[in-house]
Order: sequence, then structure tokens, then C-alpha cells
Amino acid sequence: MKAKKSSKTARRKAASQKAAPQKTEQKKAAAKASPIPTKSSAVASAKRSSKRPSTAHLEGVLNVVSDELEIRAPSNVPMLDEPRREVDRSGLADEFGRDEDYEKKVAPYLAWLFEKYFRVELEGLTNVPNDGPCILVANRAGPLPYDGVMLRIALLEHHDARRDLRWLADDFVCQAPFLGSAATRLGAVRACRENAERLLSRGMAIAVFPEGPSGGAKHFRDRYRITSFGRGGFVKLAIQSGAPIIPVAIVGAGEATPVMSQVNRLKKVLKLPAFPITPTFPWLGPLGLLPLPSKWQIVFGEPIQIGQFLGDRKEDESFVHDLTGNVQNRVETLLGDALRERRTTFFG
Amino acid sequence: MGSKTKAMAQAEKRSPRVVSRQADTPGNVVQRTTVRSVAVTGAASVLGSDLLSALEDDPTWGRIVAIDIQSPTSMRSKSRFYEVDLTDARTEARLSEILAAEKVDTLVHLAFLASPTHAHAWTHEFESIGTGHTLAAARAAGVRAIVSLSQTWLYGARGTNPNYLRETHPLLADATEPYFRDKLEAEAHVQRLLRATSLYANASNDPSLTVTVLRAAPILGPRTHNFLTRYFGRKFVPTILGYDPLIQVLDERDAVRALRHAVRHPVSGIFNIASEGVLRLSKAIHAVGKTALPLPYPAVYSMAAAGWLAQLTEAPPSFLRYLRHMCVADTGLAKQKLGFEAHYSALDALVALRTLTAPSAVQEDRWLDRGVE
Repeated sequence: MKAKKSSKTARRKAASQKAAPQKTEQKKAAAKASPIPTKSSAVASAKRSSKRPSTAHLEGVLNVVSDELEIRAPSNVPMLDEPRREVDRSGLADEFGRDEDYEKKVAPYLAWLFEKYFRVELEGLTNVPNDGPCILVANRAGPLPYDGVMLRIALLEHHDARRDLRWLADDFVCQAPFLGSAATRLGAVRACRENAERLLSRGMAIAVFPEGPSGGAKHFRDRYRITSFGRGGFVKLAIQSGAPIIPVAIVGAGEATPVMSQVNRLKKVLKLPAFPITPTFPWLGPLGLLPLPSKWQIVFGEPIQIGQFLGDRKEDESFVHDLTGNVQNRVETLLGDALRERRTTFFG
Repeated sequence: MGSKTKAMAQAEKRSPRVVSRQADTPGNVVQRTTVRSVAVTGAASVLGSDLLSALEDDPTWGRIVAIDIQSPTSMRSKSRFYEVDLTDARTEARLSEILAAEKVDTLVHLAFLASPTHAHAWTHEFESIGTGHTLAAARAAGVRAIVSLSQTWLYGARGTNPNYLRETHPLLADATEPYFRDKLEAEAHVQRLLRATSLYANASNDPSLTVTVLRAAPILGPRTHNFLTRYFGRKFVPTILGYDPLIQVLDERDAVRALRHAVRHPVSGIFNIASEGVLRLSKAIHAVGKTALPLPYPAVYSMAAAGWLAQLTEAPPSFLRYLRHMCVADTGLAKQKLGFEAHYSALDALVALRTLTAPSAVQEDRWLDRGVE
């Protein structure tokens, strides 16, 4: 009995949903179907523009007239047969959620971090091509993705072509509250094949950290040792898109947030990839997440054109594996050279 | 506009009969062979009514068969209404009789609920079993094209989603939620038919039946009434603290255009349909002219759960996923294979929504002025 009643109310609900008040809506639909200048805004623009000695006020009047015509149109779904209309893309977010306004707002702080705090030194920046897709492959250190942010600033502010680099961040960063939306506003994209393919097909530069989430949880003594280098996803991407691979070594990130120890139990409870103990975290609370002022150096290696190695081995898994090892070697060499040149951690 | 009236005049010439608004029995139907006819289930919904008027304007169609439990308001000269309740056990026979008698060659299946309800048993009958009935009736009546509506939200909002979900991505929406379960089952029915027909078409090189599934992003617009328009209609719109996902919507005008396009140019397959572009949720709420109210997830969850139990809120708590993670579909295939392109952006849809709720607040706003300056 009860179920019957509820089904009846649901049916009534559905019916009331469907029954739409038509009379007022026809007018509204007609008004809203017009491309953006609706009647109200057209009137407003006419008012505003009447102060100027231009012909703009005529435009406003014309808008009103055409609005009237639309209201008289016979169909209550007007404008369906309009010719191809350019979609007004203003006000929309970037395809991957990079937020220009937000980036402008935090740019001064990040620039200070880049130039004054980490004093990032760049080497071989010309190895990054001025246009077209390319894949930067870098080492990873520190629980927070400062390296991705710094790499992006390096290309955006200091590269000749002001390249809009997107760095692929692991799931932990993208899903974390606050951190996730902040990182994606600053050009991070969740690391997965579909996203990388889409970015490369748009001709963009991407940065990958093949060590993945475990790279950020490395112990201090392993900070510049590459333990795992993924399964060669970036090589497959390069084969598919023809984009060059640029090995990158980042020195300094390991000392910015040195991981002294791990609390595995807390890591499981909090569902984090790592619960690090650093000299300042968790002792100082959230403040402990701030990095130490280590001196950074980013070295860009010679680009590797996959095509020259490729030949007819496109489908060959062992080729992918070999090339992954090759790129890993190059990143390690760059890292080793940079570390040998460095005399002190905090003063370079 | 001149061409439109001309087209209408032509259309009226083709079907000079007087419109009959009461429910007809199939026995009364005059057999006609020259004109093509299209049937729309769920025709009394806003989307269905809009589609009816769009089809009325299209001279290709001589007869439009509207199927629903109540008469659509937008019926004109070519439309004929049949009262059919999809939850009825004898629906299949009756529907196939109607489709055969009217010589329907294209069926548009829109009979889905736009919002979650508490009447789970009834929605299961209506959406899942009703879709099965409809498809079986269509096959029995020899319909040549079926266009069925689905949702991009069936992909599910997950932190592990790629930013743009392709049609091949598995449907991972929460199947314990009746709203999604019924729609998933309905789509499974349609997909089974799609696979069967495409196998047959490959074997015989004769596509006797095209099945088009349009996975639509959440439809928004001032005429549409669903849980999402009610969500955006609140003065303070609750969001989850620390999360601001990119969202994708479908303008109601683009929804009608997509349906009409699929009816005109039937292509077998599954296609994501959405208006252009994505927006941050916070920005979307701002565009509608409302204030976002970020609250910690446990607080929002318990509020939503209590509100749903008390029938005070528009959606069950499992829908909160969509406020935390992305569920954005790639519309590339619709552009490429179906030839459909959106005319409106996500922002257009949201701004249009605002004119409904607060017309006075709109005038001085930069969102609306962007087209003028």
C-alpha cells in the first residue's frame, strides 16, 4: 500500500516536472536564445553608449529590434536553425584547469621563491624547443611538488618562447584537498596516458616524473638516487607523438624538504603515499611543509629524438625498456655532474 | 526567418489533416506511405517538447508521434499524442502496434527521470524495464533508427578519471545508487542492441538499424527543471571545502540541437554531448549569481544524508562525489563522427540560468556584458 502511494507521488512529481509554465517561458526562451546581448543588456549598453559620440547606440537599438523579432518567431525553440556560430569561449577555464587569474595572483610569491629563496640556476634551457610537443623527464624529490612548480616557472619566465609547460602530477597531489585544486590551477595535470596524449596533440610541452609517488617519499640519503623509473609510459608517448624527450636534472629539491623517516602506520591510516618526518614536519604543523632555502639548479639535457632509434621496432616492448633505461642514465649523468660541481647545499 | 516560415508552410501542405490531441487508438490511424514519421517517448518533458517543436519545423517529417503519460504542450499540426505508460506490463505490445501503424522509422527515447526520487521501485520499472519494452517494441515494429538519451555522469566522478573521458571508458557511476543503477541498466539494454546491430551490419553490409546513444552532460537552462537547476537555484550553494572540480554542462538549446541532429543524420555509436568548455565549480556558482558555501566534507555529507532522508534536499549524499572529483567527457567523437558541434559554452548555459532566478541582479554584471564590449 505504502509503495503504491509513493509511486503515485513520484508520478505526480514527474508530471509536475514536465508541465512547464509555457507562457512566460516562450518570451524568456526567445530572449535567452539570442547570442549574448539579451534585451536587458542591450538596453544597458544603449544607455551606456549614448554618452559616447559614436554610432554604438544604434547597435543597441538594433539589438532591441532583433530581440522583438525573435519574440514574435513562431517556434518556442527559436534560433535552432541559426548558421554556424562561433562559441564565445571567454570566461571558460583552460582545458586542464590552469587558472590564469590565480597564477597572476600568486606569481609574485612564486617568483620570490624561484629567484630569492631557491636562487634557481638554469642550464641548457635552449635544449627545450621553441614550439611543438616535447616531453621533459625529470627526477623527483621531496613530498611536496615544488619541483614541478619551479620547472614550470623556469620555462614560463625564462625560456625565450615563454613555454606553457604542464607537469604531470601523481594522484595523491591531484586528489588532495586544497593542494589538488591549487596545483591544477598552477599547471599540474593528473598523470595518465589520456591526459598526456591530449596535451601532446595540442603541441604542448609536458614534464613527467617517472619515479612517481614513491619518488617524493625517498629517504634523505637516496634523494638523488633514482630507484624506479616507471614502465616506460613516457617512451611510448614519445613514439606515438614523435615528440623529443629532454632529460632534466633537478638539484636542490631533495634538501628543501629532507625526509628523515617514514611513519608507515600513519601513512596507511591517512591514505597518503608517505607520512614523512622532516626536521620541521610534523613538529611545526602546516608551517613544517615550508621548504628549507636550499640552492637549486635545473639542468636541461640534449633532446633525444626517438625517431632515430626507432626503425621498425615500434611495437617492441624490450625497445621501450631499453630506451627507458637510456633516458634514466642520461638523467643520472646530468644529476651526477651537477652534484659534483656543487660545493655547499645552501650556497651553491 | 523567412526560410523557416516557408518550411512550415510546406510542412503544413504535406500533412493537411486536423490535429488530434486526444489519445488515439491505433485502429483509427490512416495508412500513409509517403511521409516519414518520428516517435518521441517522454515527449511531455521540457526537452521532449522542445524537440517536438524543432521537428515540427523540419519538413523531413510528416508525422511526429508523441508518447508520454500526459499530452505535451508544444503539439502542432504534425504531432499526434498517444498515452502510453512505460511501467505497464502490456506496454511492449501496445507500443509496437502504435509504431507499426504510424510507420515510424525513427524513435527518440527520452523517457528518463531528470532528478533522483525516493520511489525506487517505480523508477526501476520506468527506466530500466521501460527501456527494454521500448527497444523490443521498436524492433518488432521495424524502426530503422533509435536515438537514446544517456548521461555523462554514468562515467562516475573519480579522482582517477582522466580529464576527458572517452566513450570507451567504462561506466563506473555508483551502481548502489538507484538513480544511476536504473540508467546504467537502461544503457546496457541499448548497448546490447547496438552491438547486435553492428555485428549484423558488418556481416551483411546493410545497416538495417542504427542505434545512437547520446551521453549528455547535465542539462541546464532556464526552462529545464532538475536537481542541478535546483542546486544552483539556492541562495547559498554548498560546496566541499578544499575541492573545486572542473565541471561540464549541456545548454538546453544544445541538447535539443544534438537530438535533432542525431535524428537527421543517424550514425550508430555512442557519443558524448556537452556544451563547449569546462569551468571550476566555484566559478560556475558565481556565474549563476549565487554564493558558494564551502563546508568540510563530513559536515556536508551528514547534512545531505539527513536532508535526503527528510526529503528536503534534491539529491542523495552519493551525489557529493560530483562536487569533489571531475566527470568531464571528451566530445571529440561527436564532432568527428556524428558531425555535431555545440553552439553554446558552459558559461552561456549558466548565465542563462541566472536570468530565471534573479533578473534584476543581471544588468550590471560583467558576465552578461562580455558580448557587448
